[in-house]
Amino acid sequence: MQVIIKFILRNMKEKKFRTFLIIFALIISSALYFAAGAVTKSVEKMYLSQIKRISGSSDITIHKNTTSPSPYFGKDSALTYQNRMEYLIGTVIGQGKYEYKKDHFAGVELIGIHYEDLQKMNPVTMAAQKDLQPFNGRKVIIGKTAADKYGIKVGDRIEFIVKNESLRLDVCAIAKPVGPFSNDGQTLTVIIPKSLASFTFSGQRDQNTDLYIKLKEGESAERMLQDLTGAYKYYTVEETLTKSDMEEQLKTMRTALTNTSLIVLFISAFIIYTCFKVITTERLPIIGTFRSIGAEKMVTSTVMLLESLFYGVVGGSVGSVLGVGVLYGMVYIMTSGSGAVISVEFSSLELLKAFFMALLLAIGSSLLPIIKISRIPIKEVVLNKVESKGGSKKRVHLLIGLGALAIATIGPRIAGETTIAALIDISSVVLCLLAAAELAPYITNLVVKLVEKLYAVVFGNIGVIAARNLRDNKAIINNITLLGIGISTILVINIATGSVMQEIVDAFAKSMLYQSSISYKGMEKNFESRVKSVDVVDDTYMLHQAENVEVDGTNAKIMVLQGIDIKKHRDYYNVDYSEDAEALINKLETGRFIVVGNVLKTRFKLEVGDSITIKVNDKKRTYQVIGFMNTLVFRGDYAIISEKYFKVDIGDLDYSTICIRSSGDPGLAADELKDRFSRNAPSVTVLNEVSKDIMKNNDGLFKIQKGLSIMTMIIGIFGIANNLIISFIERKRSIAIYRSVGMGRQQVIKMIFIEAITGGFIGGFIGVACGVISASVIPYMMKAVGGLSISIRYQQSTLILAIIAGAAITIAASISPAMKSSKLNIIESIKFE
Amino acid sequence: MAEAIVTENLNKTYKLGAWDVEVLKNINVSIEKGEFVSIMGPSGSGKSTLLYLMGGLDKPTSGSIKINGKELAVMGDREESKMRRRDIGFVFQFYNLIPNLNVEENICLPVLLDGKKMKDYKSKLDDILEIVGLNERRHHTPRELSGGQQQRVAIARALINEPDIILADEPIGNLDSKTGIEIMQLFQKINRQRGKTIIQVTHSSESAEYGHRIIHVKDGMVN
Repeated sequence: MQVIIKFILRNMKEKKFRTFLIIFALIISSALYFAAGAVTKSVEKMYLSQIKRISGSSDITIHKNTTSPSPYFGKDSALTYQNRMEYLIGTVIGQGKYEYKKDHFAGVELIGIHYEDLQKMNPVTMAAQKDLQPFNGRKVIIGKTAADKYGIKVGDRIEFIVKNESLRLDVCAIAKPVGPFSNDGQTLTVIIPKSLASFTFSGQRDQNTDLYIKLKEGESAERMLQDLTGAYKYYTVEETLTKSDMEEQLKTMRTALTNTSLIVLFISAFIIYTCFKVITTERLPIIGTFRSIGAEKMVTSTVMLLESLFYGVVGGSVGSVLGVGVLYGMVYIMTSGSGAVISVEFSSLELLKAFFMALLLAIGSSLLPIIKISRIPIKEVVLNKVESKGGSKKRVHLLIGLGALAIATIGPRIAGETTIAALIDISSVVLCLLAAAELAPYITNLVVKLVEKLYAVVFGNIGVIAARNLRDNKAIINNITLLGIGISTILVINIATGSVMQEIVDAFAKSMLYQSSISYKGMEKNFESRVKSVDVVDDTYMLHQAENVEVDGTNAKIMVLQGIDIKKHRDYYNVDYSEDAEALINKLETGRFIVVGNVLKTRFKLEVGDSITIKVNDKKRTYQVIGFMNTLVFRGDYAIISEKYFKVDIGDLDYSTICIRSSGDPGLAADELKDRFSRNAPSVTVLNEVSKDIMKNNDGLFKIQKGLSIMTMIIGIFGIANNLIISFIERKRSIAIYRSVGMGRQQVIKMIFIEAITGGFIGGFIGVACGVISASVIPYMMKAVGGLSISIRYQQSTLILAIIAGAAITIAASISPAMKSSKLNIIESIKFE
Repeated sequence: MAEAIVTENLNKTYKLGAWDVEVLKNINVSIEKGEFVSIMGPSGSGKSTLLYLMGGLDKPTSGSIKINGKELAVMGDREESKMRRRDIGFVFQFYNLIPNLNVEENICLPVLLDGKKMKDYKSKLDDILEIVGLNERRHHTPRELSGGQQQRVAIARALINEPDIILADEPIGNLDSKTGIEIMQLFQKINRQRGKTIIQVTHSSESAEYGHRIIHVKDGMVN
């Protein structure tokens, strides 16, 4: 055994590039596997910190809703249950403006909280401070990002405009971007003493807009929710973060990253498998020699497995370490420009998992070739009579390829919305890649047949020889497969992200046919005519809108429920309805009927004719579902009923929102509206700004996805380079044969480039086909994962570009083999070793 | 009679690690057109190297080789390759066929490389396949043929462009004796009926007997 190990170690040393390639593939795969897994954890933490930006460690929160008599309330009723609470903290949160430059304002969120409470609920670390304590009077803590952005220092006096009055405050501390300040890049958040906030906003002391409660260990949240709901009838009492909320937020991201990791693993397995196939074939005569002089099959196989284990150990160890770096990189990409802060989170268990994944990948991918050669009789090995068997085995591959393609195409379409739909959809993408790998030889042969005559005309006889060389040429077919997989990965990720982005833009641009909206608490009917009278306003539409409406018998809610004016609604909201739009909208007026978005359809498993009971102010009202809306408006978490029934059932007679169509820049129009109605302190939303915000929030994930797809392509390109080198080694002899019968150097170069271009185009074509098929799975996946209905869009030019890129990659990778081939020593290469 | 191949003061030295190994020393050989010559010698004597140098597959360290009166050393790659396509046909011990091309395509390789159309060579291909006895196997790939059949394909490939000279390196070294005899008889037939100059390298005195004369090479020198 020792001598065999020695032989293999020497072999590894001699074949440095191949050893490097296998280890490199393992390093990248384990690094990406680790990083993709760990980034989910880090991003989970980011989401958590975003969601719990203010609520911190609290379990329950109480805040106003549409039925609340006032946004401000006391905490006396909650104090009754204080013995079951670890803390009960009140805050006053209000809005204001900060004039950072003459006539330039930034919105500011002012959080009034006692300093001790802040540190208890949501600890903040100060980057700089001066006279911070006692935190009372006219002091303010600002975030470091905002301080840097606006050039504010500790000790400065800054001025805010709150309710049209000036509020001058002394900066007593600058906080690191955590907790309330974690979103500082996007919104300006400041902390002021609670008593100051209470008095400024409510005009009274000891008022709150939000209460936060942390329960004592072992106390039931459900019981507390019940008790507090009773005590605060006209306010919303809810958990600060439910597990299902969190899951909902993370599902899409997890699916996307899992998908990409799977593809990376698949491509690595393919590279290692092809490398080992070459290794085993090359070593076959030596292994035959060892076997002929008495080495057991078990010993030779074990030694080869030990070799792959060695690759696994090295690749896994380096890969895990590199993975930490990749993780930091991913986190950096995700946070750059967003202002959000994520601390990198991973456990040693995850590192270990990545390490073992590398071992598994190395051994798993090499196992098949090793088993294959162990079955060959010694005589055949020694006499070099090992021939690849065609026939039935070829048919098996064809059948596997076609089967995988069929399942990948049909699977998601019949899986519908079953519980395993997401799993089927993910598997379909991987099956599509498998189909590409299995069908590549057949597609290549077919294309070769088709282009042979064309090549004869364009490239002459060298073109014909090159085309024929592609037939059944394993190294070139492996290249085509790698290229196909790489291109399809990049395409599918680009198509998916592009489509989602486009859907978001469309949801705003095409579905919401107005530029901005204005609302304030207690809005009256005549406010619409006042808004209409503003110069920049062309038209308006007032509607009722309730948020986070509870659905009886479930823990889930409807994010937005609108009571619509059936005459005007479709002029302002253009969404796809499952039935005839006009009939559907008109029917709403005739009874308790509801039309729900597709996300709600999936969430509550609704069909036309089903009932849904909404719960508002302890009153339950049952509506019959008469149709669905396929829309990303309010992320599809959206339903409409008629204005008439909204008034009766929800009971809020104030019109809650006015949609505005305006001429000119919507941002300027919004400013004018804010100024004009500043006494009402309205909230004005400009749609394209919201759309930009959403895009920005998704940008990080998209960047990661694209990064991963590029990494996949890099592994693929390394695989291609390896294959071309292997192909060169394997083909040295046949090129020497060509040379011996009169092929000139130029002809060799021409032949190799024609092969490369053809292989590149075929690989590009397979990549595009596989990418388009995989991309067609995305709408099903999005639906299964998030209930979102999106349609896939891509430009034909992208697909053509992908095919051209395929050819460019193989041409570039062929330069070195072509040059080497043209210069090879015919005698040395032609001799049979 | 005109000379097909002439070598003058031909030397070939290989580097083997730190050593310079003189494989051929001052070889002066003249082979006339239509001759069937066998080069014999023990292993490592330099006989195959001499054959490869004659075919322009390797470059000599010094000395000159003339093929049909043309000096090899002054030829560029283009001219040298053209010579290998048109003036010389090679037959190797291990056949050296392109595995993914069928019999017809393998045979027509020199024609294709010469930029000619395969269909123009149809009747010639039929003739040659008839001579080598592979008419039935024309659409098979090399891996579907026996060693003897593969060597016949290699011989047919060497003949397709009607070269004057056929160089064969141990052409029956990998074949059983019965097939070996058949191949040697085929060479003899080609030499006699078509007037081709044949130079073969061989270990076997029996196969050397098929030629007109024998050149003995030992320790890099012609005896």
